[in-house]
Amino acid sequence: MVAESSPILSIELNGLKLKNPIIAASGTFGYGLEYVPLGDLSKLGGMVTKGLCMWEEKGNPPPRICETPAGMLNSIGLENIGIENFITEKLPQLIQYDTAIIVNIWGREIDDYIKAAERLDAVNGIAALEVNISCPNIKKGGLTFGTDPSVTFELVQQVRKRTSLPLMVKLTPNVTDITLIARSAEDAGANALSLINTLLGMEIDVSTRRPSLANITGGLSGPAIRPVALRMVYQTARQVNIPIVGLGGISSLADVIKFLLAGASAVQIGTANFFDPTICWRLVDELEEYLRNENISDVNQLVGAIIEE
Amino acid sequence: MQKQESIAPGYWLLSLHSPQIASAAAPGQFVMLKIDKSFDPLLPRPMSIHSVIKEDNNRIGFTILYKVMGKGTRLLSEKRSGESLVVIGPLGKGFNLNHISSGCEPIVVGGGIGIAPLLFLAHKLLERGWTPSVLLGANSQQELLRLDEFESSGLIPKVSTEDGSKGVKGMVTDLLGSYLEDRKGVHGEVFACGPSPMLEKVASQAKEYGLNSQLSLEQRMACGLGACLGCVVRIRDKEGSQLSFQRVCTEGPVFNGEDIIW
Repeated sequence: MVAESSPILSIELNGLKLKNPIIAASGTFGYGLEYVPLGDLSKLGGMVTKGLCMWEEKGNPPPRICETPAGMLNSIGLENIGIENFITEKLPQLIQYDTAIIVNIWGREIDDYIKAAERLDAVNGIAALEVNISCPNIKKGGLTFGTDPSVTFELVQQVRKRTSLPLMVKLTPNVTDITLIARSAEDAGANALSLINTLLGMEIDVSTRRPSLANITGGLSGPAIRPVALRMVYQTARQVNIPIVGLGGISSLADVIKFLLAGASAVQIGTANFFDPTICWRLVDELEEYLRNENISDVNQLVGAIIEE
Repeated sequence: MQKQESIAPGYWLLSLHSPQIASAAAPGQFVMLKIDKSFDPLLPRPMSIHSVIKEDNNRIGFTILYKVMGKGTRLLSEKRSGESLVVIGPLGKGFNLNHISSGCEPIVVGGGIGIAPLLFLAHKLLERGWTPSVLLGANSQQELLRLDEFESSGLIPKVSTEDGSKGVKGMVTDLLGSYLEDRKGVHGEVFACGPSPMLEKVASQAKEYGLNSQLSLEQRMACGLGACLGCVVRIRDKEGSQLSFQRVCTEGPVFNGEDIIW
């Protein structure tokens, strides 16, 4: 049987409405405009910008990337054009598209995040902020913000005070128990959580005996990390009451559905944009077709619908 | 895929049918080529456009010249005509011919598989009325590729091999050195592609003789679209000596030799 009316694809992430649950992930979709030749951004549920900060960041020296089995390592070093340049050079073109523009922000200390949130709060056309807490905190000896529940709480609470934009806090998987960090972010006022960021890894070139990345270590992404991401989404969904956006190696419709079943309300597509650059658009179509074929009237019916007995 | 042939041990020439890419392509540009749907290798490979294929004066396809280096290129070499590949392109900024005057002497320098983008460039230069000098180097005679193609276009490449099996024994930069010495004061422009140490040498040789050089660089790449920021190289920014990172896929792959920080 085929559902008579079109299935509902829209979702709501606690204040952030999306026309469908397919979002392009930060760092894999540039500032969005890079992908304009490949598809209509208005068709996507949303897109997350490359991580932005209050200054222009040059990033790390090359080589910055390295392919690994079913994955890749990157140590881009958070290169970005800065929030002011984004607002003047990219955003006016981006807002012509009817999609949720989510700005990923980061900093070296809490004050950087505060300034970013204050600056972006006043700007039209931004649907939400994604707070990248996987950066080293220079005031804490380089320890990553998002590996400490109390630092996470303080950071999110401070940002929360500065903006009325929905906040999606992006969690790092490089922790002992991601659910503790998730609860801290929730308690501090996050609207939603996105997980996972990359897993810290490294590679060595045997012929030269050198690390494959100039930065030595880098973040692992791609299909290789998908089961880890799925597990973390599943565990976190059981511990928080705010919506979760799942990401980590999603490369097919089946992957999207797995994350929804595990408890994610939406998904982000990351590394797959590199090897399959029209995937986001295709997933929107495939998801709709799947719902129709399965006679599911609303995509929300899949969220957390894993069968465990 | 129209055709795939081995032109020397480990070297392949792949002909692809794509009027769209072929008609938009300029010398020095590249395509991103995904070898198959598997996750290993995961990423598409950047490949220079080696030449365009014409039929009745219309561009209907293009060729890629590559060397089997690892798993991805080995799998690619096992594909045969009739199969399809996902290819995105043409990408990047190619060689800039707009500022070159008619009296300028183009000097095309290729090392090893670095000749890949240079045949298309030589064809374009000829089409625009220049007759470039072509200097090609390789490890051995066997690896001096596509000489016939340059010759059938009316060009006579000067060649070098490191083992002396053909042409001058030595590196292509030795050829370039004596070429420039013989033509001191020549009004020319150097176009080069090859391994990084060779290009660094070419840049300094061109500078020494007061010539501009345009060098096609290689870097590991994930997207080819300017989004991942993975393929950067060190470039002197406009103010002079300040370092900036620029993307090989978008600002390049061709950069001015003087701007590159090695």
